[in-house]
Amino acid sequence: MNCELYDDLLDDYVDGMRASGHPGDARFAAFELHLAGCTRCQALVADLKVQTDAMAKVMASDLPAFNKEAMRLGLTQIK
Amino acid sequence: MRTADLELAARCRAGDAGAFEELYRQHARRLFSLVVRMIGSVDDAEDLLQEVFLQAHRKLSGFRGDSALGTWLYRLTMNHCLDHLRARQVRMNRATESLDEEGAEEPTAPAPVVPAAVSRLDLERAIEMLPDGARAAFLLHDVEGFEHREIAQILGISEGTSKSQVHKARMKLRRILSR
Repeated sequence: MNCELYDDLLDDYVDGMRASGHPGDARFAAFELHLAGCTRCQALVADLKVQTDAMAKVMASDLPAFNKEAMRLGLTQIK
Repeated sequence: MRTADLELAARCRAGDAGAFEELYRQHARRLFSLVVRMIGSVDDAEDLLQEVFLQAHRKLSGFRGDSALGTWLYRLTMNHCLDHLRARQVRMNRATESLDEEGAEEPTAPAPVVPAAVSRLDLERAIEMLPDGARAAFLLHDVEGFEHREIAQILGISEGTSKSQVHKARMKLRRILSR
C-alpha cells in the first residue's frame, strides 16, 4: 500500500484534523485517497486522534498541584 | 510583546523584586506542570523549578529579546530537566528501555488499538516511558501547544528533528496505550 510514502504527512494530517475538523490543504489529497483504501493508516489516524484529543482535554485541564509555599520560598531566596 | 518582555527583563536586572515576582507568577504554574511531567516527581519538580528561577535571575543580563521571555524561560527549564534526567540516569546506571530502540515496529493490527477513553493516569504513565528527548518535544507540542519552530528554539534542535521526535513519541505512546 506504500504507506511509508505518507508517514511524514501523518502528524500534520492529525493536527489539521484537531485544529479545524478537516485538513483542506491540497497536499493531503493524495494521502486522503490512500487513506480511503488503507486500513492500516485508518487505524493509525484514529488512534493518533484519540491520543491528541486526550492530551488536549485531559492534560491541559488537569495540572499537577502547585505548592504555593515552595513558590514563596523561591521568591524569598531571589529577593 | 517583545518590548514588554525587554522592559520586564530590564526591571528584573535592576533589582526590582516586584518585577521578578511578576515573571514568576506569569510562568511558574505552567513551567511546574511541564517539569512534573518531564521528570515524574512533584518534590523534585519543586526543587528544580526553584533552581530554574534562581538561574534565570542570574542569567537575565544575557536576555536580548531574540525570543519571547517565556520561550527563553522554557529553554532554561528544559535544559535543567534534561540535565537532571541525565544525572539521574548516570546515578541509576539504568539500562535503556527496549522502547528506546530506534525503528521499533509499529503495531500492524488494522483496527484502532488505543482505547477510546484514555485516563490521565494512563497518559502520564505512558509519557514517563518515552525517551527524554521525545518526551520533551512531545510535551511542548501536544500538551503546551508550541509550534515546531518554537520547540526548535527551546530545545536547540532543528524543526525537522522536533517533528520527528513528536512523531516518534506519538507512535510509542500508541504502542504503550494499546497494551
